[in-house]
Amino acid sequence: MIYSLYISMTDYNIATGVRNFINFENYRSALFDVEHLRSIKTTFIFIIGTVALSTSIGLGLALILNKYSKGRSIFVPFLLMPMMLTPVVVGLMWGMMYNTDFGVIAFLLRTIGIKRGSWTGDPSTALLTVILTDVWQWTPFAMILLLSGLQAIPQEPFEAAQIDGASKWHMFRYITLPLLKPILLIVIVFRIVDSIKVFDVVYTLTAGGPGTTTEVISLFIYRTCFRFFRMGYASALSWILLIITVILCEIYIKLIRE
Amino acid sequence: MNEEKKEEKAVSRRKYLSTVGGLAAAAAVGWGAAGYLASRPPAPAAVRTVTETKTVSVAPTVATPVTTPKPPEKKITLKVSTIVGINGLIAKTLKDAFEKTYPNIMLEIIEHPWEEVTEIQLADMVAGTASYDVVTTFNSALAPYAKGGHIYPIDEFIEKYEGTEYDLTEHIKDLPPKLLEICMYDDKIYGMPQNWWTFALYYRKDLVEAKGLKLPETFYDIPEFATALTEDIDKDGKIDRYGWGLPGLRGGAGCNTYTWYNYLWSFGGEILDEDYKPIFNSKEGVEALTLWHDLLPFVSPEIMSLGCDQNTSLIQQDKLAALIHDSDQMGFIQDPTASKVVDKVRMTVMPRQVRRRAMLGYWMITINADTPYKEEAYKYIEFMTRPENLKVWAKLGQAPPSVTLLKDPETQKLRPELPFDVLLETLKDVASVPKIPEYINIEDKISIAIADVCTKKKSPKEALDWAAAETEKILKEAGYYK
Repeated sequence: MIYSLYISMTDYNIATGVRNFINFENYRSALFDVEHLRSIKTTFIFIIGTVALSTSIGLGLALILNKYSKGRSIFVPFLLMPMMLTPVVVGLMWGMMYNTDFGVIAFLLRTIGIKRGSWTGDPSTALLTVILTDVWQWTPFAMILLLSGLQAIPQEPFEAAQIDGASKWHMFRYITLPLLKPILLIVIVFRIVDSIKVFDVVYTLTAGGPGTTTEVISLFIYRTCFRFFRMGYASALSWILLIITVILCEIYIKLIRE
Repeated sequence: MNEEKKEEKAVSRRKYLSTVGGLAAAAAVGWGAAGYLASRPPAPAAVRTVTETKTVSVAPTVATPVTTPKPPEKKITLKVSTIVGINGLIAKTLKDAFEKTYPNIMLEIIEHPWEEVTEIQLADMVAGTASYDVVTTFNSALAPYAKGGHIYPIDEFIEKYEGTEYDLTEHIKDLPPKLLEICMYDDKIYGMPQNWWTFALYYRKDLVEAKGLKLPETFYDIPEFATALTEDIDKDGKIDRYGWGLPGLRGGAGCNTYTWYNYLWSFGGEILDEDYKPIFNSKEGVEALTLWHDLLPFVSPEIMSLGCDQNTSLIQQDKLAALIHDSDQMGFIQDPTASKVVDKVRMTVMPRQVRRRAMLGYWMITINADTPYKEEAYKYIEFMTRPENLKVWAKLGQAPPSVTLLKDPETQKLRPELPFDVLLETLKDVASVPKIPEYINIEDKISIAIADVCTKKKSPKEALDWAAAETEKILKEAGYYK
């Protein structure tokens, strides 16, 4: 890490071998680099979309599985399967499913009268396709953690609330959610950290395209280092990403402690 | 309770401060170390020290850059980094013949996907571990590899072995001139082309004849040609066969830029001028990209995921009728195990606009600068380019990089569906990418500009002007001009 910190303060190009110490110039450039800022914005949109969707869908599934325990042992393994696949396979598989010419999604939409062009090739929908693919893969993770959290909640508060005539929504809002809060925050932290470093799914599904529409920060750093050979700048970008991740985690850990 | 909470807060604050303090101290140490390292005189960039471990039992070595060639006393393994596909196939097919010719050299052929080969090889080269002795690289990577001293020029071996059984000079004279030029950097030859390609017009002969169409003579004839070939065969409102193909994938070789350069040059445009100023956003460049944009209605909506390989698949699956495409793809299109249109696709010269100037690209075999087996690596390169072995290339579907063999009817018979006369005609006017290390960055900007036009985010002029501005920034930072 110390070596990468040193490299981040040079203009090291791994192809040409040029390496001059330039102090914090890389960090200064990163703060004004339009493409870098765009990739951070794309990443944040991705994080918000994927965390919100996977957590809420995961919670919904967990509530259902918690309520209806019959057949849970059969359904849960199936529901966990997406998590078992490697992200590269998921990206390739969904890429084929999204394909306009032979993909199953386009086919099903056409049967209900929805005709449109490419999902992954259209800037207005490309990021959504990446988010949905990631949500499909990692919702089971949220589900299983939240299910275990739900099963750990004692029944007495619910019984007391029932006696007091509380509705199902009130019980969910004032009993389930507060008691589930620690697990919920853990799920959110894990999902955020996972989403910040997303690479495989984006690379295989859209390769950051069309253009730079879905170029998340990890892909931008990868390109900077291995396609443009700018190792010094890429190291600085990595350190900035590390600092952002640490700050986000610190905030959430503080929230969990409270 | 309050006291306990205060105590807890104090402990937590102390822990927090000590963590932050520790990180700050580490950062200060790191910065100090960086400053110390930076103040030391830099190591010379292009020097590689190789320790020879072979024992030499005869006369003392002569003080020349290349040690006196003595066959190694024990068998060595020469590791060849190549790419999956035709290059790997050629390497594996000729492996036994090479090992028979050089019994002391065993070959280990290592194949990588072409999209990732640069990262894999570069990681090895930067680390200096010489995991590969022979590396396969392409146009855009030559300048950065050569400038960084990662690959070794073969001039000294060419000179040394002239007139011997390892003579490469005859083959060099027989190379298409432009192909030799693009294997050179700083007037040194860095390797020999293995898989090479230019661009040609591919079309479905059966459809063109059935519809009584004329092949496009100029680029502006393409839209009408594409309209006629675009079909909704089963009349379900969805196009089943696209009349034209374009790659929208971001990148260089196999992606949008390398194909667009055919349009740019044929319209009379160029990438950079003599002073390295970007001129691809000239009137000619805008016209070329405007035509590209006008062809989008005839192209698959999945264009942004289409590169060279994907377009080849579309042709094979009878989903694409015509396009300007890499000449080395004909072998795949005629592969009966994968293609539904064997014997239906033909290749001819591209249309002409102001001129007909096609992109010339290659995968080149070259020597890793860190290898202790430079002589053996050179012998491998020389062996692969012997006429009898070049004929093997033709048999496997790759046009040999030899004017003599391209003109030889017997060699043509080995691959009748790959018209060598079209390649020879196209080779009369070809061009390649600028040989500067910064080119790869520039290529990415042009690629994004093309993508922005394909997604209708920008007009051709806006997109190219943006890319030109970015290119100027890159070259200014690199010191090409103030």
